[in-house]
Amino acid sequence: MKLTREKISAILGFKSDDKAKSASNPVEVETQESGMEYEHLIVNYTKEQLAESELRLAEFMKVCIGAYGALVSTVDGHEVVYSLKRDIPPHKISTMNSSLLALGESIARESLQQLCQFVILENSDGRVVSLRINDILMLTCISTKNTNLGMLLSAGRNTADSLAKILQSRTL
Amino acid sequence: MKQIKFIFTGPPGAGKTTAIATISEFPPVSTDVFSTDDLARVKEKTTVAMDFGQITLDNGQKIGLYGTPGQQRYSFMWDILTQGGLGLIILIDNRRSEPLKDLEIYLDSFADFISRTDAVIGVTCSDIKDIPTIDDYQEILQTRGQVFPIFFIDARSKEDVVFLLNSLLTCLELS
Amino acid sequence: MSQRLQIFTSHLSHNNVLTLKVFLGLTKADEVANWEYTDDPDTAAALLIDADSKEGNLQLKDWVRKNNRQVLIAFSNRMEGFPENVLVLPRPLRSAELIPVLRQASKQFLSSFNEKEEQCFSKASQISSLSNEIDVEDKPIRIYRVLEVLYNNKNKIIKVTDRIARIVIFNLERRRYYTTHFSQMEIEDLIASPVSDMQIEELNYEQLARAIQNLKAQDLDAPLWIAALATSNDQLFDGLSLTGSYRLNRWPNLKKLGQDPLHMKLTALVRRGGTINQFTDLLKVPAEDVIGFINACHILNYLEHREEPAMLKKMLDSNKQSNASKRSLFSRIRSRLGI
Repeated sequence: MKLTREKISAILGFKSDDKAKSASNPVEVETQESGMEYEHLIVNYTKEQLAESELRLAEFMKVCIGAYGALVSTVDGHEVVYSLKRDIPPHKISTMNSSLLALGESIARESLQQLCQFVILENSDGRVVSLRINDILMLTCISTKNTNLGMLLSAGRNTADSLAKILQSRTL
Repeated sequence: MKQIKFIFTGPPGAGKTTAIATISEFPPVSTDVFSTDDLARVKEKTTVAMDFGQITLDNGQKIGLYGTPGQQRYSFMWDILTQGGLGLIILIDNRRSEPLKDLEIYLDSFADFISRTDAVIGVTCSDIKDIPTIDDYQEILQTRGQVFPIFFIDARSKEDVVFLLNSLLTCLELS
Repeated sequence: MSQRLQIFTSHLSHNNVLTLKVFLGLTKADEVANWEYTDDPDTAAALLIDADSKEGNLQLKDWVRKNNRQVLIAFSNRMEGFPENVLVLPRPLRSAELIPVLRQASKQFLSSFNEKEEQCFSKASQISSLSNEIDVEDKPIRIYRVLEVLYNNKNKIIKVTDRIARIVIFNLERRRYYTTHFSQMEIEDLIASPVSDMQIEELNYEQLARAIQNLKAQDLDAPLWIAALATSNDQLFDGLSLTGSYRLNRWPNLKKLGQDPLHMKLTALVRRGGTINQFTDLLKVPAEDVIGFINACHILNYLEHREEPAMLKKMLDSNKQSNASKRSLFSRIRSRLGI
């Protein structure tokens, strides 16, 4: 049987109304490699880690009034845990922002600058900010212009630092 | 002046970054990050945006060499990178479990770009696993009604990569 | 019409050779054959040996054993004691005796040549029915080569033994060959050789399995390709026509077939489809180069016949309008890559 992330969530009884989901837990997800997709994550987070991460994301959303999305994903584009107040595709956002962060870091290197702190997408009615948590994880924060940029960056950095401590992973 | 570019694509681990590095005049700018899924058992790192290399012609014109991410969830990057491209180099890893299927996936995914330009196919790692044979790949192309240059190559060999590019240039020249 | 034939000598004295050369001039007016002297025994129709010398006698015996197509003439004081097919030229060398012997030799050589051609045709018929119908009576004598046997027996297993008992087995279904006797270059020569020099038989899979134990399978594509190019002689192979249109159904693996730049261009062009004239015009190359390429693709089953005039016209028009700056760009890219 192929276990999709949605099925796992249903099995584990996560609520769907706040759209806060965990995409990974100690249950092994066996999928067949189809085409170019490798879906079996080799990083392992416990239910407790994920639950605590969700809480941190919820705190972030409270601090930043205009924030309507916060995603933790792997640097190679797999969503891990997220909190979304709007109908945003977490999988796409995780994948695309992984590209953006990697590009930003490459540009920094080529510009002879040190570690990339944030990649900021400044849009007419909001912002998307991506930043690293650790070697394999990143945080994406999505907000309207109701939260000022400084607050978004500061809260985002604090959240990432907390998540770095929570999500020290074991590799399977 | 509009940038001229060639696009290298193929599944993860096929040798795209390596192939670009053999001919680029500088080490390719890469966007490799640690793999966190099954791919990690094959490759420690994976490209998540693009590889970028370049060659400069005698008149100063730059030719971009772009490598796409291999995994299909990055197909949005495939669309971005192929814009304005001159032609496609598909690298297939013969060690994978279904390389013939891989080829079909890339031919389908880039069908529109290929129809406007052209493509060549290099099959890597045949020294490790020599089946499917080139004839097997040719059969697949024939059933699809397509004819493309297809060879076993070593992505580390400049001679092989240049041979692929020369085949592509010849196709583009005489189209 | 008088045939032009050559004679080689072995162990004759210098004086006798000079005399022979003078006497050969007397055959110019002969209605059967006009003889010339040669230093190459392989091209000779007759071999004249001094059978009275010890070495000459041994040489004669060796040639008798080899049973080649040449007529053997023993120059000797003895009239008897020679094998049946060996002609005798008595000593001393006189034109009155030489001319009749040469006449007999020419008749013997020409009749055995025709016999062997007929044997080859019937041999090939035993193996399979040939797709090409060759009317031997109407057409001039045509050399039927091993290459054509292989092409006409696709998906079969063919064993070929040459004059000196060297063996190669061709598995045409998988396009492989097996041998311990031949190098690749010798395989190319063998494939290009006339069948009259070979013994050819079909094997089944059991026989193949027994025969190829401990033998490594070798790729047949390159020898077939090279032999086809070498034997084209500006002529299309049977079944192909100058006015037909051709299209490739797969890209030849030029990496192992020689990497000829012209072949790469021809491949790109023939992939689109067209006639030989069109390919020749577009690339500005001699027609024989295109013919050789078409023959080689045909032998490897890469070719389809197509009749699509609209497509051919479109190809021509688009090429005429092709951007000069694009060609210049590609030329600079090639130069930069060292091509």
